[in-house]
Amino acid sequence: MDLNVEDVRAGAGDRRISRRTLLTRGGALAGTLVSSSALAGLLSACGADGTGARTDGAARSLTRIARLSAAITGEPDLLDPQKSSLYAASQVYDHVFSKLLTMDARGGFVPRLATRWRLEDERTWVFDLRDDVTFHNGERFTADDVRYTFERLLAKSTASSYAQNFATLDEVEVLAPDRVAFHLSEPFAPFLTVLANNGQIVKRKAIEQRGSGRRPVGTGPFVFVEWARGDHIRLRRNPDYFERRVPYADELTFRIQPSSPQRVEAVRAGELDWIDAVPPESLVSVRDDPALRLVTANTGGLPQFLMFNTTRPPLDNTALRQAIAWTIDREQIRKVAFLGAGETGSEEVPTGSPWYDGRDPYRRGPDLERARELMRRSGLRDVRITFSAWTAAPYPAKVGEVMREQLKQIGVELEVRRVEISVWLEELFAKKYELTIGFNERTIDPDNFYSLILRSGSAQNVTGYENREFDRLIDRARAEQDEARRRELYAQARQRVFADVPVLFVHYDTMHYLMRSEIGGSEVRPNLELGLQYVGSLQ
Amino acid sequence: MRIPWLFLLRRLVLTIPVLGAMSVVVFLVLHLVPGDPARTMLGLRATPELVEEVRASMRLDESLPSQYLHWIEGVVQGDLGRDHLAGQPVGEIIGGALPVTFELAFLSMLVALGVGLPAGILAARRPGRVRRATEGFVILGTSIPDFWLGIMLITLFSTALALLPPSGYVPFADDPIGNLRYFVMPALALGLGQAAFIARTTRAAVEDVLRAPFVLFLRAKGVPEPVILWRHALRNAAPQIVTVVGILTGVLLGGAIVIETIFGLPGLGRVLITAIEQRNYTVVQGAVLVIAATFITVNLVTDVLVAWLDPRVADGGAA
Repeated sequence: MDLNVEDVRAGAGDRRISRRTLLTRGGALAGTLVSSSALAGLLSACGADGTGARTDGAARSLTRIARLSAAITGEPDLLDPQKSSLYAASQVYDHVFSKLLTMDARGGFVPRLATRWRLEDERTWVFDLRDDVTFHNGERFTADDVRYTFERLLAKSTASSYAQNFATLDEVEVLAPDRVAFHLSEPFAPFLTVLANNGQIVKRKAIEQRGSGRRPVGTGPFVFVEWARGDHIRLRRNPDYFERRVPYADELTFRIQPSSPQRVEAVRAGELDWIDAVPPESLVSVRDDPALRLVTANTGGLPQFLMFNTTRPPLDNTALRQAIAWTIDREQIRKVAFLGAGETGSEEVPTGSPWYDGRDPYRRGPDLERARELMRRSGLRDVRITFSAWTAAPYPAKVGEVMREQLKQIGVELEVRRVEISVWLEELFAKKYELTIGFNERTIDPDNFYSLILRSGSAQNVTGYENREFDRLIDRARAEQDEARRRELYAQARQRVFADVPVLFVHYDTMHYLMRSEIGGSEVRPNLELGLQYVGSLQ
Repeated sequence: MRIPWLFLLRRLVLTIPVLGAMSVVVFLVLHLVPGDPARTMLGLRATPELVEEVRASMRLDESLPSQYLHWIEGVVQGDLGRDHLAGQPVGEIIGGALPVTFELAFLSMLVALGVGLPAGILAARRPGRVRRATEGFVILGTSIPDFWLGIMLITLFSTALALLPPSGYVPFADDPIGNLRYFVMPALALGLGQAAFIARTTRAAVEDVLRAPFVLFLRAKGVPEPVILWRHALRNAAPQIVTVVGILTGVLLGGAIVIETIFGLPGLGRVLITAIEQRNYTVVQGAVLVIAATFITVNLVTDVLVAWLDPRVADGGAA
């Protein structure tokens, strides 16, 4: 499980990072510490040049590049940060729009449109904004745009998939043209994380005039040029971008291509400069190739987890679920189904996350004796389970097949049923499945996962898990601003989940970015922002 | 050699009910297949309210006949509706993909005819080793999947020899040479397989004609072989060959989904498969209608050509 940050940034010695990460990890700590004037000074120092941790040694060694050709695996649905529901779209629109703040590679918060922020009381965040930013259509960026953005995001007619993340946001108040206050309905610790994920600022006029989605207008490092459906999206450098020196690329083109070994060939041949995913079967050859650079980290990615339908037999039987958890060999699943890529599943966050607690009892590997004892205790015989493998990616079926072999050891017969993703979604939400594998995008703060997937009453809780004690822990952790206490609460909540097994984390899909070795500046960020404005030529 | 107007008219009139039936079939199949478009769009982040909201905006809460009529109304006026995800006019989406598919079809047909016709004619004229070699080619060509051939070509020309780009596309207007370089391998992969069909049909048709009594008569008259072949035999074999070419062209114009995916060509096949996965109803309906109309047109042109070449067909006789 040795995943090193093969980071391009040689000599990235930014002294401010360690203090910043202490300050802003998880976002909650900022609230309690900020009263200290020394830290207030720190925040304004970060705001002074607006680029936070980005001004470092590596930036100086990168030069401009005329054309950057990047490939992403999916096609965006639309380039509207509030209306889109696809990660592929955010990969593109994060370059056209800016958020108030974002995350760096270490998970620290970095200013963008906001220069500084503070928790005024437990339900109010105040943000100071930059006053030197213009949208791509020439209009100035002001606090009104922030208010408009979030009103739109929360409006019923927008039908935004991200509205739930901002469910605690009551109102955005404009205090001055360069200052806003976010009023929450209750204390909400993950607020900064959510803002660093989904708070891209849009301009009312641009939305109303040009229509959203196909010709986006933002404040980001790149300006939208064209979108040829099924083929590519082209952006060009924003000469008035507010961060100095970036972007390095004059033109950025996103080609839409499913993940395949051909993509790797295309990088080698110079057809593509940068790709966002490397198929597992190509990982070995690219690691050894000096002409290529592979950037990967254990700080961000996608958790993949088994979901057990606890509302119907046979998986309503807790002992059976525990038996399965003690039987599954996740390391073998990683080697066979994922060809050795990523991390062995354990928790909802990867090992490089500050939230990782390492107390997963199943992580030491299968314990068949215990599993068989649990099977006896379950009182069940001749257990047959159907595993729904959605077919939009190859791995669900492979995971199912490996598990089928493993579960034979405790006398459980697993049938792998391939199902199209549309049908899978319907069955999932109607709770008509037995066992399946799911994923949750943008799990950076544990609340992103637990409130959504496992809290009773959540629309996305398809396992039917209902544990009042667990709900209480999650709710307290959401409101708790002290980070150390939050960590302990989540550790306790996890122990409930490990004991009841409504889900079992089988794999953590880490990101792999591939480029030729003369291209640098690419990093993996926990919020999975690609940051291609920081990518340039190393020559 | 007159143009069979009545024949043409009869066929044109028949087109309308055929297209009408197609539209009903594609509509029903799409709407009755499990998998709700709203849920598919929203994915795992769906809440009941969101799903309701999106369904209403897509008019999915209306009755099936009502939805169908709403769509057909638009089609008749030339409006194929808008795509559910981004609101882009379906006509625009399809229009953007058509040039790619047309170019691929055209170039593949060039390869297919350029290889298949000579091979078939050669085989018909020289029995023995040449014929057996052609037969071998035919068997290989019809059995080898085009996508396997495509991947082998990439391995050879891109990976090993670095002569051609493995995938991608640039419009012809922007960069003619670049555009053609992207199409070489896809056209070969598709065209060689079809060359086999054409070779087989050509060989059989020409052989048949060369055995006909009138050819014996021409030989007896002392007409030179080349004249017999080019002026007489091919004219008579043409209807069969044209028919096969017509069918192959119609199929090609429907979009070669797998080849387009492998080579990264943004053609109709890729648009269609993506739209199906997304349950993007209007795009699928529009694309299927366009493909059906194209196929029908190509068939019509083929039949008219054949009728022109062989007047007996237009009069209802056998080709």
